[in-house]
Amino acid sequence: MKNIACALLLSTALVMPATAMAKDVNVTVDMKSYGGPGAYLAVYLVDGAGQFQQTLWVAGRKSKYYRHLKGWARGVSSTGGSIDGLTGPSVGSGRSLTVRANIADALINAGYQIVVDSAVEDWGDRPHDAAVPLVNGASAGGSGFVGKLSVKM
Amino acid sequence: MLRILHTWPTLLAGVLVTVMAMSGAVLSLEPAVARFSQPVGQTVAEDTTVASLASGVVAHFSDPQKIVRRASGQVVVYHADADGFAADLVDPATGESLGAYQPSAFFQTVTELHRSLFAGETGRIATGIGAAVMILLSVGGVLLLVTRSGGWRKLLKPSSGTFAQRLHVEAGRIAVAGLGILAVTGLFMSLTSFRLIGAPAEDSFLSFAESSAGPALAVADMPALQNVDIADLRELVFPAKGDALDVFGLTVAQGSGFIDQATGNFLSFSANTLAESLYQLAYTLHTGQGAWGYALVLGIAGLSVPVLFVSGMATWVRRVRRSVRIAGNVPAGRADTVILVGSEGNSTWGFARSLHAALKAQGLVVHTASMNDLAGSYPSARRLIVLAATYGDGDAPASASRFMSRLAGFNSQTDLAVSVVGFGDRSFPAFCAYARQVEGALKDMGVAELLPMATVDRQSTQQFAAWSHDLGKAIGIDLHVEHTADLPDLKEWECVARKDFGQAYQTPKSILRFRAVQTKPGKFSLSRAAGPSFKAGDLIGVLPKGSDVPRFYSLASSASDGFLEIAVSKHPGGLCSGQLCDLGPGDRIAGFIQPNARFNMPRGKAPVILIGAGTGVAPLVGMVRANDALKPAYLFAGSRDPQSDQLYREEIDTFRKSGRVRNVSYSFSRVPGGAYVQDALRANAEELRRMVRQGADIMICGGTSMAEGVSKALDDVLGPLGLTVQKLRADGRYQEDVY
Repeated sequence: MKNIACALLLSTALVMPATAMAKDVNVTVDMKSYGGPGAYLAVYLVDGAGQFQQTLWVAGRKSKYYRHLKGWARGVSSTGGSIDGLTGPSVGSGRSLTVRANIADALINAGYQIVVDSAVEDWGDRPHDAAVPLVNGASAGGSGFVGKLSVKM
Repeated sequence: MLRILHTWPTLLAGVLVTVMAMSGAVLSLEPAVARFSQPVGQTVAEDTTVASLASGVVAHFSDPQKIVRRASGQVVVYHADADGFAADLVDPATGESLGAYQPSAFFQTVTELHRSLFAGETGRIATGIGAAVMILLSVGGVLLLVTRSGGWRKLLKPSSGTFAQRLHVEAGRIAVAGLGILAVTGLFMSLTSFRLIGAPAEDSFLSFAESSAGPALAVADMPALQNVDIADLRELVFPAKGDALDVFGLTVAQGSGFIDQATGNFLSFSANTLAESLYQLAYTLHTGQGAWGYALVLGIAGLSVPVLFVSGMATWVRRVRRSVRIAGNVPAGRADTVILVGSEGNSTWGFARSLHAALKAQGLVVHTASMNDLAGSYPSARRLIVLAATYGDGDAPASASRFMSRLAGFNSQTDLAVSVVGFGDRSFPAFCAYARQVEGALKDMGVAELLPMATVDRQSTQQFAAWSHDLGKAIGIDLHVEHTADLPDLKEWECVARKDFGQAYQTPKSILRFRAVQTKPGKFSLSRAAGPSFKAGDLIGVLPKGSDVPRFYSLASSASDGFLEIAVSKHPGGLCSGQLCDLGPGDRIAGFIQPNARFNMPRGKAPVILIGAGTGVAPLVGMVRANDALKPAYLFAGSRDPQSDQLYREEIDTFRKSGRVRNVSYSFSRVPGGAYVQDALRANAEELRRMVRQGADIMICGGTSMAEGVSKALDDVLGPLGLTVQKLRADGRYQEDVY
């Protein structure tokens, strides 16, 4: 079963209006079967230097736990930016999350990366659990709770 | 009102609460399972610090994420291995792995069911409501029991009623403390998780502590960790590997804080708020983590919930089924006879229904209603019949709660006459107290008396029939109302011996001995193999042929005697006593045992004074026979004539020799210079006072007039001690079995 979260990103610096040159990008996070409670995830975009650019999705309802998604939290706190409308439920062990984002063509194949931070109650926090280049068909394994992170557009 | 508050939440949320309680009962096993199935490691020296544990862990694990010390004392290290995540139990003294930590998937699943019913946030709201309902039910249940038993101090008196009612009360008594704790703590945790209480000022996730980015200090050298005793540790979160800005997060019993990985000092520490401390307390009390024995006790409380639910529903269904349905009820304005019912548990309605039908069959125009529905006047009525139970210590029963206030506006026409019947249980000091108040109030209003007030003890069919007979005579009709409550399962009893007495008198007496006829082997054979259990003073309800109304006889033997014995007085024209007195060996009767705990031999070592007359001597002899403990017993036995109707003479002599009875006093009323038992009591006043001072219980068995005479005599005897029968009765030391 898949948790499909659809996020429509409108009118920001990075995401162009629908008429401009932009693509729908599907980012899929497959979780390992770690056997614990649901994972909090932050899916976000960084530039070639690893600098935080944009939140794509935050899985997990309670903001008091967001500080455990440390790489992302640090990025958001330094650059600001709202996460309104970009949150959903946590993702269970062995399940998948698909995030759909409308991303400007200029960012694709341009050295940008999609990064996932993860945190599971008791089991620990994994900033930079997995990362893939923002390229169609790219995929990579995770070092923590993420099994596979893949991009399709 | 209380009852509504007890019933409706159950109807709405009973299944929810039961699921929570049963899953909770399963979870109560977890602390014990965790304690005995997983190693704890060496016991550590008392002054072991978190710094030494953490440095041991760092030495044994390449990428530790977090150290958690569980309430059981077990230490778990979460760390990254080749898979990316793993958890090990470690020895608290060395930080060395004791093997993989595998929390039970089963208990995790049950925990999820218990706190959210597998339904996420919605489920958590539901379980929070469930906890609130449980509080309502616990408090309501205790208050109901207090009201029912007539006061806080009588809270522990034996319960009465149907099996389901007694089961409900007993299970509730055992479990209410545990359930109260579970419900209050559960609700507290629920409200906390929904941030309705104790929510700290919302600090943004965007602000967090950061280290000073210098080279990392060895954990063993960190001052903040060196000062913390391992017993206070809850968890220590390590900074992400390679992130020099990240911090240690430390949670201890007293609060939590962040530690700079370069200096080893606290960047910040916040002590627990009151709400957080309370939450920890609630968590410990609710889960029993680290206290497996306590957790098991809570589990038993949880297991009582399905019992309470089923027995409570059974009682409710019974009450609803038996609620008011009067066939052919006539409007109040047209009725010549009005029956008003004050009932708590609906059993009095059963009597009303039977009476209504019998009066109607005799051509009367009858209106039956609850006492709360008292009309302003009954223009056509000649007779007003009030059937009133009593609630608790003399209060109005449910269906009469507004009667007294309505009575103030009642217009009684001059030709209206009233008969009040009180229903109750003589074991309560306030026996029929409410009916007496009603009778007094009606008398004060000048309503004429149709019959003197009558009482019915524990739904006695006979007593009600006797009153109905008097009522018929007063009205000028032939009336005999035999109303009986639902009968238990009948058993066959075979007569094995009989002995006759008093043949010279109009009412000859017989002692009859029976044995239980074994039910067919196979069905229920396991539970019935031992035969029914009973004690002297319990009752057998005998169903005579040609009637479905049982007659009750006090048992003169206990099951351990190997036989069931009763003494029967043959009444002219008496259906049941006639049939019994015609029994010979081999003949069978149908009957059921009705426990009568208040009239069994009292427990303890205090002396006992046994007073009986006629066949009333029989159960007392049965108690003496079973007096293996040889507690001091003094028997006063009355009969007419030693030559004719004196029961148990030889047996009593044997018991005196064996010490089962210390003293026996016989009284004979039909001999020259004869006397009654009450005269013997007065004659032995000094000895009786001595025994009562020693805490003696008094048991009386016999006819109503004898019981009244005995009560008067004892009031005289006890006067010098400043005691009365009423006082002894209230203390449960004066028990009567009167017929």
